[in-house]
Amino acid sequence: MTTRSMGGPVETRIDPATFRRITEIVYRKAGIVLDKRKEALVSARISKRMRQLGIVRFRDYLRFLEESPEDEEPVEMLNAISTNVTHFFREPKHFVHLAGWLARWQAEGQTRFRLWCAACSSGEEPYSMAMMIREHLSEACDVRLLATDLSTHALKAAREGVYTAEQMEKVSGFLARRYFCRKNTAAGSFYQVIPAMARMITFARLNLAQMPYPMRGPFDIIFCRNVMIYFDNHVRARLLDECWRLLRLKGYLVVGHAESLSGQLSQFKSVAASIYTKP
Amino acid sequence: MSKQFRLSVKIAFGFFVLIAILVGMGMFTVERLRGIQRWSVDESEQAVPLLKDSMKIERLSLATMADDLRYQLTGDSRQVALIATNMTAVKVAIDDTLRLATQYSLYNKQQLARLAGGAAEDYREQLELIADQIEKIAGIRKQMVESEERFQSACRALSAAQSRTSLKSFEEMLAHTLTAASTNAPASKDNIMAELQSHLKKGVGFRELMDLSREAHVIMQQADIQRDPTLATAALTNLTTINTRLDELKSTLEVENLQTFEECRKAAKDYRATMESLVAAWKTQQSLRAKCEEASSQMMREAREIADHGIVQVNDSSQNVVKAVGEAFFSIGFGTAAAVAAGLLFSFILSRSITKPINQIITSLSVSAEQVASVSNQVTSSSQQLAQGSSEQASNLEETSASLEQMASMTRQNADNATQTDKLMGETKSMVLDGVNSMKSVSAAIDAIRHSAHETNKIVKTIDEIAFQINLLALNAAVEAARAGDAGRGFAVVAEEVRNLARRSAEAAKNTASLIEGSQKDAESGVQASARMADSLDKIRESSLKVATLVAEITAASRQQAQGIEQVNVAVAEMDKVVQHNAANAEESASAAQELSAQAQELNMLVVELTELVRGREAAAHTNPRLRPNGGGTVASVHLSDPMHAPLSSPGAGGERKHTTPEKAIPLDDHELKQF
Repeated sequence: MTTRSMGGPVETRIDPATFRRITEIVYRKAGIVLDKRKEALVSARISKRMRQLGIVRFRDYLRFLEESPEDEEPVEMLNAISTNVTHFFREPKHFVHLAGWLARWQAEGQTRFRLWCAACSSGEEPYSMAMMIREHLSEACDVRLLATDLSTHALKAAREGVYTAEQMEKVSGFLARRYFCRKNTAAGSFYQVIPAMARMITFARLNLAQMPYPMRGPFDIIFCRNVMIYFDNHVRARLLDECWRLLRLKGYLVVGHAESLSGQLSQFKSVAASIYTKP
Repeated sequence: MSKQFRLSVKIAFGFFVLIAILVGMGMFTVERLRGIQRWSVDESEQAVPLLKDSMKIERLSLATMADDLRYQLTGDSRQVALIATNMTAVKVAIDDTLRLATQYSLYNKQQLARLAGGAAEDYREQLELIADQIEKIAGIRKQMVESEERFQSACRALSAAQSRTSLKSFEEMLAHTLTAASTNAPASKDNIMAELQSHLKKGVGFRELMDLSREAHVIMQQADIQRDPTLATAALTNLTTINTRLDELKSTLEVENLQTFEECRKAAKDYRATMESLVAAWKTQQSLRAKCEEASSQMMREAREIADHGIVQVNDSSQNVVKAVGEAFFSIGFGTAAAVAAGLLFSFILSRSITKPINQIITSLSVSAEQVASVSNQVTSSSQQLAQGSSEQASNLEETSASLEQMASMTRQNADNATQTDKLMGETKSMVLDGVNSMKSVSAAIDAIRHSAHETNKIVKTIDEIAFQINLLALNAAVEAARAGDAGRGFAVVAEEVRNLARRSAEAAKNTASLIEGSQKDAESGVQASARMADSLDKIRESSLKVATLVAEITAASRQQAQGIEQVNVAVAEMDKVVQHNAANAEESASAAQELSAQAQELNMLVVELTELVRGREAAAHTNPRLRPNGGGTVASVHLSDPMHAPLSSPGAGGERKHTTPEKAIPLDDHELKQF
């Protein structure tokens, strides 16, 4: 395999059979639902991967994918196909709530905190959470934050914890100075997460479509935002069951604004917009 | 050379010029060589055969002469046959020469050959004559030897006779002497001496004669060997001397020896005669020989002359060949030098005319290549940014799309719920009406209850009164029982029980009365409540009508919203498609830009190679150090595929990422997850 494509530009259109087969694989492996309208998306994202591999035809890529060991190309394929949209303090009200809960629990005498960011993408969300934790909990507290994602690429970026000034736009100057180390290079300014903050976060790959999850729980807070939108109701229901299992009583589950547990056969109780609790 | 010609034309022209020079040189050389060939052919076909023939003639002539000489010396008649054979060969050679001379119209040689032919003929004739003469001489020589022999024997006979005579005279003299010895007369002594001397003298004279004869013989032999008639003259002189001596001896000879002497003399005369004839024959032979020699020498001369001519001709043609070869050498040398010079000149001009524009091209090419490299790097980085941006955009849109879908489904659900609510509201409405109606009957029922409660109250009062009376009766009975004593004891117990029952009845009646009173109150309040309820139900009916209207509105709105979101969703899906395409294109163009960058790099290296090719490695190194492969700062920026990670991750991380298996970066096992 070479870095550069050898056989010229890759095919522009994916044939229906290959598309169907790939979407089947994606659904089976990651629970991500890709309907007919996502042909352009699949074509675009797979072709990027194909370009890296120097494969020209989608059919050939499919064969390569099917022949590859489970922990190689399928992982890369899911890396390519997964959507990683995030920014610091996305949906800020959630973080306000988070700060409030933490402060309340600390006031109640809780010292051990376990949080889970279920779809951490390139790390902006867990670092946002971590900043809130460090701002509102004392140093003495035992705080661990698990950040998981399907994409190893996203996880790698998250673990590196290096962000451009553009990405840092939503982080206040105060927080940026406290929790980031600025580096100026020829290519521009970069912000590196300070080790003290990085240490409290464990990054790991987790396929949310493969239940049960290896964690034992309980978590005080689960952030599972903007990930259920990619799943169908079946996967979603099982995901919520797992969240129910992992969340402590009176713990909070935070989902995306577009995501609603209404209509789901879940026992969660809505607390605020897209925030639920385990009563 | 003008710029308007193509490079190939220029090179072809240069080669054409060189080839033209070489062809000219070759043609000149060929012409020269053809001359050489012609001369060589002349030589081999004309001069050399002529020379060969003439040499042959000369050689054969010499051989003939040698044979002739041998013949002269030995007189061996076999030589004659040899000479004849030689002469035939000479004749053939001469004829050949004549033929060749005639063939090539060499009049001079023809003449010479003819002369040689004549001379050969003369020679042959002379030789025949000489042969005859030699035979004659041989006869004469034999005669001479015989006559010499005869003379010798005559001389010996004479000498012997003379010796005998002398011996006799000595004997006489000795006897005489013996007698005269006593006298010792000196005269006799002198006589004896004189006598002895004369005898000795005679003996010596004979000896001399014989010696002379021998000498003459030797001289003749010598003359014969030397073919010198003058020597023969000396021999004749000897014979003349012999005759003179004989004449002198005659006077001294005794008579008895005269006959012998005459014989001797005759022999001497014969000897002389034969000698003279021999000498004459020799002279004849000599003259013949002279003629013969003349002929042979003429023949030789002619042959030599032909040979000389041949040699001269061969020499001439050789010289011509040498000259021509020299000229050819010169022309080839000069031509080569000229070709080399012209080649050098042309190659210089050509290389100048090629390298100059190429150098210019290289200069502009290197500048362009550099620009292309920097531009392509820019393009690469911007297209990578674009790719990343569009990828992010695509991701955002994808998330938006997914969210919208979720929202759409929620809205759909809302609409469904609203519809259901609407339906339920309809049901509620009728149910409320039912309720109102029920309420009315409830009111009536309550009224009836109140009424019946009132009646019941009356009954209860009656029961209470009865209970009072029973109590009184029971008291009476108890009194009566007490009076009865033991017999009434059982009755007293009964009376007590009856009293208890009466009390409980009164209590129950009281309770019931209060209950009924409560019921009455309740019924009254129930009536009031039902009235209120009827009011409420009326209100509910009204509000449920409103709710139904609102729910209908909500249903419609939700439907519209769902449709709207559906439309938005469709639009977003379209947008998504376009954006995804754009993202893919951006990726493609980023990849192409990277390729372009690599190509630009390649181009740079090619330019360096070209520069090295044209200007040499050293010069190339000096011309544009920035163009050296990996020499400039342009390469590193190619790896800016991932602008946010490039400065911190190892160089070429973008490329390496594809090779590292995912688990190396992020462990795929659940070890870390299990800690939670």
